[in-house]
Amino acid sequence: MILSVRDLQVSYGAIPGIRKIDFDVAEGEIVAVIGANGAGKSTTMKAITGLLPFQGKIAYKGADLAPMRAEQNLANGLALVPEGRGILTRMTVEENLRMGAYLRRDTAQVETEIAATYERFAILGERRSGIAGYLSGGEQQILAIARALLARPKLLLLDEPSLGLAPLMTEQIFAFISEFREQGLTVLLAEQKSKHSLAVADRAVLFSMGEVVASGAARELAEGSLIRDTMMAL
Amino acid sequence: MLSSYQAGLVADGSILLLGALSVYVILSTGQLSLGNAGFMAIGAYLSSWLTVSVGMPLTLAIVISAAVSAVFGLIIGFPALRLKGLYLAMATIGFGEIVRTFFLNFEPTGGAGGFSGMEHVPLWYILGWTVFTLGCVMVTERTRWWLEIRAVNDDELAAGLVGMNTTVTKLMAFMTGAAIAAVAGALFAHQTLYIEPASFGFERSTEFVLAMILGGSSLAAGSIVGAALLILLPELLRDFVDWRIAIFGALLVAVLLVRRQGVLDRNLFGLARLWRRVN
Repeated sequence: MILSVRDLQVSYGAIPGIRKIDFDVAEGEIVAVIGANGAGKSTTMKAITGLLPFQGKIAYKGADLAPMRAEQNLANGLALVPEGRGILTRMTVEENLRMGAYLRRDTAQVETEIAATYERFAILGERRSGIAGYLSGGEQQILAIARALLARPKLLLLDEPSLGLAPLMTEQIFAFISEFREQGLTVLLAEQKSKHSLAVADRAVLFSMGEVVASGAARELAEGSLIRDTMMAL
Repeated sequence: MLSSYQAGLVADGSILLLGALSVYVILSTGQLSLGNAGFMAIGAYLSSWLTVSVGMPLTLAIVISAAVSAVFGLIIGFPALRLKGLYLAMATIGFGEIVRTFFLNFEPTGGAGGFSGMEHVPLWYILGWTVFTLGCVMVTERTRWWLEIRAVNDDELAAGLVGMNTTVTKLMAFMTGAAIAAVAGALFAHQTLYIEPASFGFERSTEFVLAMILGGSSLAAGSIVGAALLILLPELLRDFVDWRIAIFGALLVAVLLVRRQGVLDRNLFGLARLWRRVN
């Protein structure tokens, strides 16, 4: 397992955000974390990447992660594309991409990869000198993902990548996520849109009120009614 | 050849430019310091004491003063990690007042009576330091560190997501700003030949901020325009006698209404580059 989460608990002061979360992610697979608003998806993602203090145990590649060590976790290959994208809106597309490779020292290779990024995501190439804040929501999401990829993550955490996007752009984003599997990248995907998530994921974990209520193969969960019933019950 | 009046204006403008730059570096991380006159005072008093009482060469005294002021920048920078916006600005005002009050009561440097005995520096020396400092800041604007500074200013959380240690970046900016303000203070002291705590009050800090915002807060070159305007406009308005300060104030408001980003900004330079490419 590349990631193992055991008895994870996170509180916002006296308010419990996550009560008890357990799940695993194997290397090379896409795992979808599905749940309604307030289920604890974003909190889990932030705790894993070191942006929130937590109780319990998070092991990455067999080693326990200490809370609040985001910089170290990123250096070890854990990259988060947060809800709301987290791009640098007053900087150019190119500057955002360069910041993505902030911790890397192989400058020549970074240049090659930025050029490859422009080929892969053509819109970023066209808007490379443009201010990132002026991109559309979907373009910003692509930029956020491209920037995270430049950190060369082993485990990419995507938090609500389709939030606020038009259906066509949502399809495009999920098409990119499918490609990650072919490249051998491990992805942990937090989403409310269960249909899209289950279509690209190998396995899924269903969150409700800060707890795991179901988990299993994505195809099996997609065929059953548990996810729909849980989401509808909230 | 400049008259002594003109030379005085150029020297004042250069010192104001350095003060504006000291605010610019700190503001580039999104932190507003209204206490840079405090760092200026440290530079002025320490360098004066080193040259007059210790007999140290001025250049070495300026370097030491800048280093000491940078340490104070580090100290004042720590609260800045917890404070933002207005609260940080208020804290820096407090720092400026602490420094001013310290020198008001510190008898070894003359207390309220001030400190004198410095040797006058020629204009070229002041201009040399100004060009050197401005050049350093402008070169720094092209470095990776400046990209980090802009990232912190843009969105600190997003900057943290790419692995940046935003704390170090903010502290370094405070230290750099404090060092530049100290250079301004040292040159000021060796140009006016007499310093007193009142020379480093809140008005001085706001003058720095005003010059930087008026000239353009998104690039170092803006401080040149801001300092020039702040020095030249009151002189050009002398014919209006009692009304000149009011007219000066109205002009400032007008400029900021038309160009909130200041006279110069990054986009203006971008347009100039585009113009050159087209032609």
